[in-house]
Amino acid sequence: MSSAPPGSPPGTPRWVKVSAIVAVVVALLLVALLLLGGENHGPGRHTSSDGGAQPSTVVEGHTPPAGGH
Amino acid sequence: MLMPPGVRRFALTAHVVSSVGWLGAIAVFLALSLAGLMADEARAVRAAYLAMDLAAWSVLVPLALASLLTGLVQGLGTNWGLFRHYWVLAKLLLTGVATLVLLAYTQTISSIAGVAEQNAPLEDVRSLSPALHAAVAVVVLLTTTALAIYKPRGLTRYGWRKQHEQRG
Repeated sequence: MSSAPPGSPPGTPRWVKVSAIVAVVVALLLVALLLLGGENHGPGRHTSSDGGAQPSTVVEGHTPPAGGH
Repeated sequence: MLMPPGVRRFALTAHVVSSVGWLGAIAVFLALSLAGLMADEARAVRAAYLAMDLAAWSVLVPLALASLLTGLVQGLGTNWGLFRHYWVLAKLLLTGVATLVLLAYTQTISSIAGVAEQNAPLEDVRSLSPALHAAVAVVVLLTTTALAIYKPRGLTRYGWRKQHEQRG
């Protein structure tokens, strides 16, 4: 094992500290959003339980107007 | 192992092309996702989501993997290393996370495209999610591009030790 180099290691630059704080805040916000709106996130939102694609209006019992939107 | 100059330039060219190409492809993806949200004609909305699915698998994923792979080669094959400079480490983390999110999100895109392919009402086809993901991806990739150009100062402890070893 090599010996430690002389002097003290450089401190963490300010831009790294600021970026790390921003990253943590954004990550926490994303986790909160996922927890709050988890049911509407991911491919499951667009598929039925059998794996096939199914419009959400059918699931919710809403009938789209004749002739489409 | 350090790359010889010719190989290094070739690898750098591949890295720049794949990374900037990925950013450009995401910009097109964002435009398609906005078209899917705002177009009036049903055919245009459905076509936008089908095009997004095609673009995700045939352009975005290959470019993302190429960008990550060529970035690793750049780090390992030059004096920059992967963990010596904070900007390289930040770029590696951002690119890695963006690639993982993209790989996971292709399933969602395929699912939305599947709904678009069917005769589902437009309100069930339209989705804000691709536009949000693409907008965040544009910000992330602009950040990695800026990091590569500005190369902000800052050695990690590991990088500092390596520097002393090389000098000694």
